[in-house]
Amino acid sequence: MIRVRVTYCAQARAAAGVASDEVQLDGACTPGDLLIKVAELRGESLRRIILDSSGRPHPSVLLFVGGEQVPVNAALALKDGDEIEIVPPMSGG
Amino acid sequence: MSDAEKNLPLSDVERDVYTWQMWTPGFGERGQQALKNASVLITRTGGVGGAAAYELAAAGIGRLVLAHAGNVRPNDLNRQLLMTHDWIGKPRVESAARRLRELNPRLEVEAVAENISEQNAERLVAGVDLVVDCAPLFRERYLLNRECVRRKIPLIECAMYEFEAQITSLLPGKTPCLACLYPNDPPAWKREFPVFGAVAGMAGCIGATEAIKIISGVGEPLYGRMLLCNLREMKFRTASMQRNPDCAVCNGEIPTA
Repeated sequence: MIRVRVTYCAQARAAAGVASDEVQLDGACTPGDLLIKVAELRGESLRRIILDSSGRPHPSVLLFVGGEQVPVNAALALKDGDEIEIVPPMSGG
Repeated sequence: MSDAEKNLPLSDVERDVYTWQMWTPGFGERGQQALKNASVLITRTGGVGGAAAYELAAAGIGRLVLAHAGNVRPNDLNRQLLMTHDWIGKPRVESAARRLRELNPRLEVEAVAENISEQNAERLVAGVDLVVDCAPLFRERYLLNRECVRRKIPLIECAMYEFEAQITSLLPGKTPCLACLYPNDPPAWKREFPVFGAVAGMAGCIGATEAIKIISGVGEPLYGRMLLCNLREMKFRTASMQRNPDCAVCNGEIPTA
């Protein structure tokens, strides 16, 4: 079992209602799996921002694992203690 | 011919006005001359773009092309520093041009009372050396990205939401383009969003700084990196960004208008 910290930025923070979550993962989990898991955890308003209409991770969400950008579909196994940031696109001008 | 190709020298007045910034190591008269001969498109000229335009005008940029539709409304005035109460109901872009000319009467301003669209993107990007993207809608940003990739000119992306901001500089062929980062239009983004003028202005000022650096060749632009600013907690950091080898825009698969 591993634990990771998820930080929500911008619209994701507003939608989640919290700045971050400590998430417990039971098995192997990719960043995309984690997006689905936190969408379930935080509900519809976050789901609309980070998942597409099919329930898959939205490709235009920026994800950072340990400060490095990774594609949402990266075949990367998260490790205990990983810090993940979810950064939805913003275009406020 | 672009202004950069004209290579106009500085006047005595310009040497006087820009003395303090020409003291910057590596910038000097050469950097100032590069600014004078540069042409920059800024879309739009609201909270972010207005600050970027103001700083570039102050710094002595030679020519600004401003694109912004609509008239000034009362709820623009918490952040759009180039708009004034006495201009409510009158064209925003004319207000912006007027304020910039007051600041720098040597500045050449082309004020276009339109937002970026399929009809004008190619024309507006043509003839400028660099674009500062401050548009509030992704469809405008994607059009600018497409044209900048096609013309191989830098695009500075400035964006904010509430207390957060993101700035990155895109160089076609070298860095990710906007579509590498955001391949699909983000459905959750809304035209109206929480904004303080101070946060928007900071994003615009950083964008202007990037433009000055890129034009003058000083410093390290945010090429391949994104500056992530969280002003709620006062945390700033940069993160490296990846190109998408399957990007349709970088691979030239997106037709132009």
